[in-house]
Amino acid sequence: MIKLLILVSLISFKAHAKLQVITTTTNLASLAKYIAGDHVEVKSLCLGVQDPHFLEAKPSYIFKLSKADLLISVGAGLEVGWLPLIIQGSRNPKIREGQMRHLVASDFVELLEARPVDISRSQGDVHPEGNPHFMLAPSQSIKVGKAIMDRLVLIDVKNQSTYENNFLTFKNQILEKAKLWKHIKDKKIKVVSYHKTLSYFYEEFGIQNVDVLEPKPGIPPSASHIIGLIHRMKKENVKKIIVENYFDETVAKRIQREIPGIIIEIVPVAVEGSKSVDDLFDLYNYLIKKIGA
Amino acid sequence: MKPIIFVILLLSHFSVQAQTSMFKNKGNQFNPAIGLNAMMLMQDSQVDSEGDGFSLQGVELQFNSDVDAYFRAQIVVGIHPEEHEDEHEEEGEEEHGPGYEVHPEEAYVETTSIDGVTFKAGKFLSQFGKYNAVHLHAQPFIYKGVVQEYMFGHEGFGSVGVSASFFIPSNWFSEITIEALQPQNEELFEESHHATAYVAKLKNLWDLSHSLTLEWGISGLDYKRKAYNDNKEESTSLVGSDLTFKWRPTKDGKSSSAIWSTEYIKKKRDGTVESDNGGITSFIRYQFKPRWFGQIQHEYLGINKSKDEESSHASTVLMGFVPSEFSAIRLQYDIVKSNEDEDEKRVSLQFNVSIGAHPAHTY
Repeated sequence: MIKLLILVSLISFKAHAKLQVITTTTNLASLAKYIAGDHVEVKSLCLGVQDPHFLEAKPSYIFKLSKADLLISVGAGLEVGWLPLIIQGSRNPKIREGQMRHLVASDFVELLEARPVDISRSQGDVHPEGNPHFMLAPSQSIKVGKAIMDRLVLIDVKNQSTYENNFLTFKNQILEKAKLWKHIKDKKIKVVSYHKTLSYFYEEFGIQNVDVLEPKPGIPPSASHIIGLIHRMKKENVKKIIVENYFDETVAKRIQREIPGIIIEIVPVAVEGSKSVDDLFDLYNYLIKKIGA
Repeated sequence: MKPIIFVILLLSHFSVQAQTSMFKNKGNQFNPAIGLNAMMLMQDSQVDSEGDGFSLQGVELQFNSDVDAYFRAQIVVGIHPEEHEDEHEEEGEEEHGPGYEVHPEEAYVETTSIDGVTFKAGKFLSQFGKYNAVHLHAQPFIYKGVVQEYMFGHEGFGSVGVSASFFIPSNWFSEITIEALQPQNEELFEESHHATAYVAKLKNLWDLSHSLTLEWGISGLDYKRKAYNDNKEESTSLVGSDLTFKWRPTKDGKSSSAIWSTEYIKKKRDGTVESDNGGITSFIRYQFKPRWFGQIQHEYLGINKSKDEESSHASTVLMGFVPSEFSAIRLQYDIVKSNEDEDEKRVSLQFNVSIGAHPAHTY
């Protein structure tokens, strides 16, 4: 009994050489790595090829969170199906929601498609707080990057200048890239997407998302919905279908048979979601190349 | 005395973090999250026809919320059909259809602000084994299996008490749970206010790859009550071990997945009731389309049993259709062969729905 209690008392003693930052998605992990540099070890729970809506509350995630010095989540209901259970199981009170060491990125951006009233589950997997996929817009990643920098400074003030310099470098690189990407807006591109994952990206680059393949968020496409969609795509002269790579492209291919010449682009929407996408800049470049070309 | 001193020492070592939320408040967050599960059933049995036809198998109403900066509370209220009392019929009472009983399945408070350990107090389902703490709506099959029913009874082993759970320092997920519970379960104890049942569980989980996990748990229950006045000495001991593989590919993980789970439990009672029996349950679940899965299970009760104990084999197949994470339709066929009763064959169709704020299920 005595030995057991001594053992329990030891588990609160945690000695890490570096700050341990856990993010829920690889996009947040990539951003955190830019800001934190070498002072911090950053790991993502969700892999780039996984849909973060549907992660399972694996005990191995609980184990990772039990050692975390900072948790960065997306928020806006994206992780509601699994993250609360993992936080609860981690027995790490520092990272509970509302605590300083749990940064909810959606608190720092203005969310699109917010529907705080008149919603029910009959409308599918709706997010009343708003669309949680804001990291796909470069300008939004600057806002989140600033929030991460501020939070790291609060936790680890001795490296304040490193975090501030890293953030400035990241921000300037995005702003430089934005000049190169500016011309996309003039193209007046029209697309149809599987899910509303790219709403922020589309808004940033003036791309019109005419419709989505899902009749409602999280609900697989039905035959009647697809018939209506084909009619609309022809009428609007849509040339591309964008399928996020964790969704099934079968329906897009069916539409392609009905509208010859239409292009299907299967795109990653997260860092490490594809072999050539190792960080946020790779991801933005990839999306610009495939959707904005 | 020594354990008390060490508990005080332990608590003083933890950094209690109960700071006020420093970020924006989201309006109605003070209300408890309320979720409701309802299970509707159609059943046809060859032998025991008491539950045949359409019925409401149960309703589970869940409330959970932070109590304050230190505690979280969970209450689960179950509404289930009353079990028929034979003496009512003998007394000639007229029946007016099935009645329902309402009872708290769980009502507990647990700590949220202590680093490294969770203390829990109240009424809760014991963590013994892999499936005892799983509510009926989340059980892998429509009914609890014959081994679970034999070991813990229809409602499982839930009682009032306290527990502590914590991680063992290691490179993988390794968690110990220790419970001290009031002995309130007729399948396990002669009810007493003069003794306590103790449960210990070790749960380990390894990520064999990003797609595959291995979970292994061992559990033990010990209960002893000394003889007093005219009451005999009572004792119950249970040991259990469970092994579960779960596979879900990282890509296309919404379309296919698989689980293979096996649990062994051995129970020995001495005193007013003398029994010694063990059982094993093993099932495979395979998801072959985004909304479809099939399951197969075999159970054997009677491992190392004493002479007069029950022995049975139960085989089950199930096909499930899950339109969304909030509804499921499951068709199940069971065959139970027992040394005590006639062979039972039963077909069941269940519609299981979840409304409101339904918390995530444990892995």
